[in-house]
Amino acid sequence: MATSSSSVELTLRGKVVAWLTALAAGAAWLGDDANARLAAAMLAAPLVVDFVAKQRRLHHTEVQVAARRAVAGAPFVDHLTLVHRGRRGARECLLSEPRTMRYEPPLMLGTLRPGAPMRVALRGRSLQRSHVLERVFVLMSVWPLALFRSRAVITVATDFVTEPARVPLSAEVVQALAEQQASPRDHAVAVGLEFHSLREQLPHEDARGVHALRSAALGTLVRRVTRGRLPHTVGLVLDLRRPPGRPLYQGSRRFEWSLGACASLVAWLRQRAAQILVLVLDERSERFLVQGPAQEHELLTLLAEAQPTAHRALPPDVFDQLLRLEHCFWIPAGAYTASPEIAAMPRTVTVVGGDFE
Amino acid sequence: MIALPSPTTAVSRLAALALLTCALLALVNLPLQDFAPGWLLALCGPGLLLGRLPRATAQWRRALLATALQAAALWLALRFAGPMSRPAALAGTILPPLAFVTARQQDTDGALGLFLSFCVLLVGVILDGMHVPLVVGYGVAACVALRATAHLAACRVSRPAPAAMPARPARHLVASALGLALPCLVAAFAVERTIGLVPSPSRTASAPDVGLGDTRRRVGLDDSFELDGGRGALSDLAGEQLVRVRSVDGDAVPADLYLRSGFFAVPGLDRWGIGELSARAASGGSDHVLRRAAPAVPVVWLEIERFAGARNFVFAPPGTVEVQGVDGLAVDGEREWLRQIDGSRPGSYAVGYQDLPPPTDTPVDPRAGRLGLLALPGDLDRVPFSRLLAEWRVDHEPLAAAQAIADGLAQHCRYDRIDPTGPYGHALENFLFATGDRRGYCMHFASAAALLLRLRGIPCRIGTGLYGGGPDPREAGARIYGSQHAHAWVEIPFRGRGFVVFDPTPAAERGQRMPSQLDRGGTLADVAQRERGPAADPWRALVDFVLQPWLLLLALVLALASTLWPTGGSERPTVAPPPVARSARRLLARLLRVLAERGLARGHGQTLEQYAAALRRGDRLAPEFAAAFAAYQEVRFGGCPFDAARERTLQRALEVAAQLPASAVDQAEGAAGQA
Repeated sequence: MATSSSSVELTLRGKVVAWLTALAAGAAWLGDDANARLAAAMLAAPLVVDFVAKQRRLHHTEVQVAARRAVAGAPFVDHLTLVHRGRRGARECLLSEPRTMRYEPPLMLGTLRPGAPMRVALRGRSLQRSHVLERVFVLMSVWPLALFRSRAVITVATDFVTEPARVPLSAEVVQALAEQQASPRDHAVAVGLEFHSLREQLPHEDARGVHALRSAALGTLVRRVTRGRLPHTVGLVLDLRRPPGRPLYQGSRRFEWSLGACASLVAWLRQRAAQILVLVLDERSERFLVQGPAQEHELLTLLAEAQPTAHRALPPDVFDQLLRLEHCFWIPAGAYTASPEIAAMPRTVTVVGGDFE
Repeated sequence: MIALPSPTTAVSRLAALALLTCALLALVNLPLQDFAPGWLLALCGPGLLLGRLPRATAQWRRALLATALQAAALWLALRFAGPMSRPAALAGTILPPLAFVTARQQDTDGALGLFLSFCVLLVGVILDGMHVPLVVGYGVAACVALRATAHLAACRVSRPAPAAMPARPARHLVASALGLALPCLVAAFAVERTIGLVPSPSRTASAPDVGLGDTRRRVGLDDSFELDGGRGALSDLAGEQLVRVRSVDGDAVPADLYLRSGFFAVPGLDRWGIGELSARAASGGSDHVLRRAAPAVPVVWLEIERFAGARNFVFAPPGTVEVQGVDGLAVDGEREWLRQIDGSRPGSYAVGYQDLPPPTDTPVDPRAGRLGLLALPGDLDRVPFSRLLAEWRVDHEPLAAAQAIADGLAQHCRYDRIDPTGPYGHALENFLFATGDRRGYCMHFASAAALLLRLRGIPCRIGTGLYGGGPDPREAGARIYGSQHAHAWVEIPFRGRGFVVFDPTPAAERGQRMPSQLDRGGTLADVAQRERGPAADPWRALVDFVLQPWLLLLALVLALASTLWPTGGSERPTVAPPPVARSARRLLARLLRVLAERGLARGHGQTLEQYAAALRRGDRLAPEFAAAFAAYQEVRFGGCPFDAARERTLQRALEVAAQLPASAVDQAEGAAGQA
């Protein structure tokens, strides 16, 4: 259940004024001096008025936000609907989400009128791979005199999946992918993908596909578009197990990179309409077939929640279905690269990130 | 196409304008006699120039230029405008940074500029007293500046949402700031009065708290030169005009006229008290005959005009025979004490008095002993006082004794408006017996003389009121008295003559003239309008009622209480779950309850995911349970409908959970524990 709360605290300017007021009031009391009394009164007046006028019901603001999927480190824009349920309007509020707006300035809202919904676009960037079921927003206001700060923490129950950041795949992996693509026989002149046409380079695409000569001639980045045919089903083993005797929470950098590589690999394969038979080796081996967006989302959610697990031996029947596939990718996310199961795989296995250092 | 200024630019201009107004008001509040225009220019000019200098200039160059400019400006001011007073020079150190900050007009300078201008304003108040319109104007401008800087600070750290800002932010800000200015002024007044109500240690040591209705009125010897021990209505005026006296016959008011407003009869080494009073309400409307006029001596009629601060007092010269035009007068005829009880208001009244010659062979009034005019302080060490009496050859005859004491005091002590200091515990002993510089003012002279007279058996008391005054520039012969003309003297009662004034304070020091508003260029009409006019106005009465300290304090406490009062939890917003999730939650709750009965209780604070992970670790997560949890999560957070398939999933999990034997669970737990 989402709960909200609010608090009022002194700003830096308010602290300075409060100290000066205390000094002046102390001097006025000790010395019975009319001038010191006047100074204390003039300093205390804005403090009193600001404290009395401060908006204390900011937490009565309801934030409505849809479920979101984001990629770690990638910017996104959330469209929020704010409804203030207080009796008076909330003025000059700053809205932020600490989790996703560490490097983004808060959003300055105008006056939130009671009961009137306001739609705002919030720019954010989730830096950490995660799957959370509630989001925390902070609504802050220094209205009217900025001597006190009213701050409300508003929690909203929603689904927020931060997928692993995509990483560029190594040349060996790309080559392995290319070699496994079976082009149509009538057009194939060589093993691998066929050149098809040219189009403009998109920002997220691998720079190795850029056609250098055409790009130089046209003055803009142009990319080779190749077509081919992948095997119908590709195997993917995500091994989250740590090597025997190794601490559980070490090698997190490799772990995160491996999850990113897994997500990139899945995206690459799914763009080419391949089915992926995924086997996740963690505390219990999970196996599922990715053949549509729903399964892809499920896999990415699993990647968002994945944690390294302790080493355990695998039952022999785990790889039954994978053994029938032509090619398989093995991602030792837990750094267990010397797994005997890799060697036991009869067909071609490409270890992704095996040389990661 | 015309480019409109951005909202932030308009607010920046508003902040700069408000800051400039604050600085100007603070400068205007400075006294011109201390801050000549030349000095103001020398102190502010370089700062203004440097503030407008482009920031591209190197920092060290700007520092060098600032030093050279300021030094040159000060040298020129010293040469052409003459030297400055020491307090003014000290206060003048704030002006260059204020000018610089005001001219620079950076967003971050708002608070600093406000603080500096506030310091300058306080300097002006300390040097020249408070000019209410300037201070109020400063408060309003400061509110606008504070509001604008607060808005700018919020804008600086944020990104404005489209269409979030009002169309005319500057106008909007001015309106809200003006709405805040009035509460700010009221709060300032309330806080000032509240602090004033708190008993101060220094006030307790020097001047005890007295009430107007208290018959045992006391006054401190080491008090400043104020009436009623600094707590009466007179002291509220801070040394301005209290009464204006003119002769009805058109003659000049004598410069040595004493205007008595009270007396003190109970002696003390540190403070005197008024003693017992037998006041009664005078009958006869507004005309009151106090005593029978002596024959062959003309009655001189004076018209006394009281201003607002003096409305609780009735000033009358010794020898008064009749008072006209005062309603609600309380009179103690024996003690010649007059006071307007209630309903008093500023206005004029007439006093008829006789300027009788000094009594030569008249004996003292025999009722003096009954009135307590021979009493002495209980802790009085008579030996040193008797030594002084012997040294000064003080006789028992009243007038001769008084003259001898006055001469002795003039030789023995020095008049200065500084409290006496010395090794003794009492102010009066320090005044009379300290070695070296024995100094004091009229209260000490009068107290010492009264004690010495009583030691000689001559009854007397201390009279307080006004003396001297200043000529009224508007009317020849009239005189203006303020609290700076407050004075104390000794009164000796003679039979058939009443109390006769004997003033032991050196004649040259009585009622010293101090600077007043008239000397600073104000006209009497302004003063009279300020002092008298508003009180006769019913609006003024209403304002007086509203601005009473206790009322403001009550309002302040109520406002704070209303803001701090805890609000009900029912008003807190809750994120309403989808209606279809209720049945899913019921089923899940039943499932969790059954699992708990089988020994698989969900931990406190454990989320559903953590609970499932814990079951999985213990190999107790049946596929049906996992499916049920997933179905619930899809409904609860995924926006999926609670359809028949998901309901079946939860029902199936419930059945599986119900079939779990408790013993099997215990065995499994036991096995897990052994593992």
